[in-house]
Amino acid sequence: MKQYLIPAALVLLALVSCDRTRNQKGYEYFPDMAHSLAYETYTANTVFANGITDQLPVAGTIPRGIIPFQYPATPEGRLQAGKDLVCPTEPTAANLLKGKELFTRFCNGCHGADGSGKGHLFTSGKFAIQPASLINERMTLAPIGEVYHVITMGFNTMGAHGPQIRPDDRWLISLYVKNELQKKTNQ
Amino acid sequence: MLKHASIRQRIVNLAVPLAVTLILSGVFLSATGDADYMKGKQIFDKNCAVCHKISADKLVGPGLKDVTKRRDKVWLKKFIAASQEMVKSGDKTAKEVFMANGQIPMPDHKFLTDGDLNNVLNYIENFQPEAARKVTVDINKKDGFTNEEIKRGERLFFGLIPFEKGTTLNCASCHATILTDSLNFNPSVLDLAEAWKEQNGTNLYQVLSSPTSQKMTDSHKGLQLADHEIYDMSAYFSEVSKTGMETEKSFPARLLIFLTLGFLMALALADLIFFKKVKYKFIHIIIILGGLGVHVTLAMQEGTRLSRTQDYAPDQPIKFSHKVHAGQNKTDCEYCHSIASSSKSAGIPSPNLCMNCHKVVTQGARSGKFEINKIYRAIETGKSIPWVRIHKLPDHVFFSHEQHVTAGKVKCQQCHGMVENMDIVKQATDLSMGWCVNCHRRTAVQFADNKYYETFKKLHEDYKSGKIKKVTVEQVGGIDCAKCHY
Repeated sequence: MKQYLIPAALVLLALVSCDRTRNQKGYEYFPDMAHSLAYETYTANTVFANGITDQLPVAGTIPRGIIPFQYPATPEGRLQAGKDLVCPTEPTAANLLKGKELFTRFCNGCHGADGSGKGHLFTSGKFAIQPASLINERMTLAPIGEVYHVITMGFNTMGAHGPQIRPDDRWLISLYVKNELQKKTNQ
Repeated sequence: MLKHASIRQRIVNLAVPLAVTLILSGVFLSATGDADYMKGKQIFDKNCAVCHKISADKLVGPGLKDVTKRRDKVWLKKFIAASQEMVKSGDKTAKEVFMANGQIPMPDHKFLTDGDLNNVLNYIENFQPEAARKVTVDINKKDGFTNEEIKRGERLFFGLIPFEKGTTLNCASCHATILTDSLNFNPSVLDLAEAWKEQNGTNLYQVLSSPTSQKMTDSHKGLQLADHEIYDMSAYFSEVSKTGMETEKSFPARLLIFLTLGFLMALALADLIFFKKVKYKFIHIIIILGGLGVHVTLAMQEGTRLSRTQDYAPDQPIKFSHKVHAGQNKTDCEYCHSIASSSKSAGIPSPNLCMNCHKVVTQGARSGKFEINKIYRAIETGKSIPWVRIHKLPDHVFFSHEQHVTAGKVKCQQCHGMVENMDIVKQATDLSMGWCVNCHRRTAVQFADNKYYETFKKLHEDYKSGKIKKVTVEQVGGIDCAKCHY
């Protein structure tokens, strides 16, 4: 009997917890209330033809509380937005600080912390073309509405960031670009 | 738009006489071999493809279809080498092109030799969108392939039968045939099979003869498949797409230990009461007590693991590496999961968002174009990418990212682990209730100057008098049942 003890102990040590591969979730115990019966945001849906729960608004409708952006993603649209749009927020210290935080999150990668267009993605060689500088003469002269338009609709290679950043936050970023980034370099 | 049209008109006006001159001067008659074409393709893909397409469509710069007909070749060469110098020196056409394309300066390419430039222009001139399809195999065919064909294809894939046109390459050494524990960035055999199936089996030859990325070029060097080899391998792919990939089998070690010890204990008990073969009773007692101890431990461990999915790290439909994106490229977590600060869910980015970068970055260092192409395909077809969810709390508990990320200022890594170091995302914490409660007991809330907690009069008194140094989530009701379960 004794001779079985040692091999048994060794087997126990060697094989503990290798009975589940990374692709297996493991077992559940009475998961009656664990899984939502209602469709959740990202669950597949058999009701809709495209199989998605998270549907887009019906064509021709506007969700409550959302004002559609009316300027097209063209150079003309950009100029028009620059003429028409007025920033709804003030460049207070708190707003600029929040703007800087958002800029760091959404813009730094390409445009760089100083706005020169030498962001990490460019300097590390991932991007073959240099992203636009935000602090050159052309951008300094451009009205704040143009900055807002470019963030919302994108420009050239830059993708539209409208779906990703809420309107208030886009204004905060624009404020930061106009009132801090560009002033810092022009002093 | 008017402005553009007039410029286009002027370009056309310029181009027609130019094209005539070019044709007359016999440029099109010059013999150009395949080698020059491939060289030109390489140079184009490396230097031009980021901004230019060889079609009528504009990317960043203008589409280059028929550019050699529109403009003089000498002028083109000069422009490619140093466009800004030409604009500044007052070249009229250069200036027009510059203005018509949003005044974005084209980078200089002075490092390209005259031969390189000739090759590139030759490539643009003779560009053919798709290499002619040479072999067609109906991979979806109803009557299927014979067993022999499938087996031969499998052996070719594994390198057990050498390819006819002599190369020692074997497919299986790079393309995974079973699900493994680490991330193999090459497309797996199932990936390949699915891709083939989608193309109706027509592009195996084509893909191998014109590789889509540098990585693919390097790894398929010297590979030339004979027609029947393509046929056999298509048979194998067809089979794989039906049966799926072999999955890694788990070994039920804990169950075996449980059963073995149970058997030993029963034996010891039987010997103790009936057979009495072993003299020393302490042996029986050791076995039974030790066995019981192991049984209880295993039962407890397995019991607590029920419904918890710690260490779950499933394969995803795209081999997306957080290590590359969040680690090396230093992308903020909230750049992609942008609604984490304002919503219950952290948000799974849509393929649209991927395109913010992947419009420019069209191939990965390790995966070539295969994985990134899946984004483009998702956008073209409008089908969602079926990402596999890892972190999931049961439906009977409420959790909001907004509350934790914005109000609590909890770092993503605290619950999700160091995701920026993970190629395959793994659930780092057990997400159990005890884990939640422990954190709520330890963590202090921002109590001073916070209107939200104004009504906690007694706590405010104690806080002001210095009786308590911090107010934890627990003290403001953070472990009340109804806080999360309702």
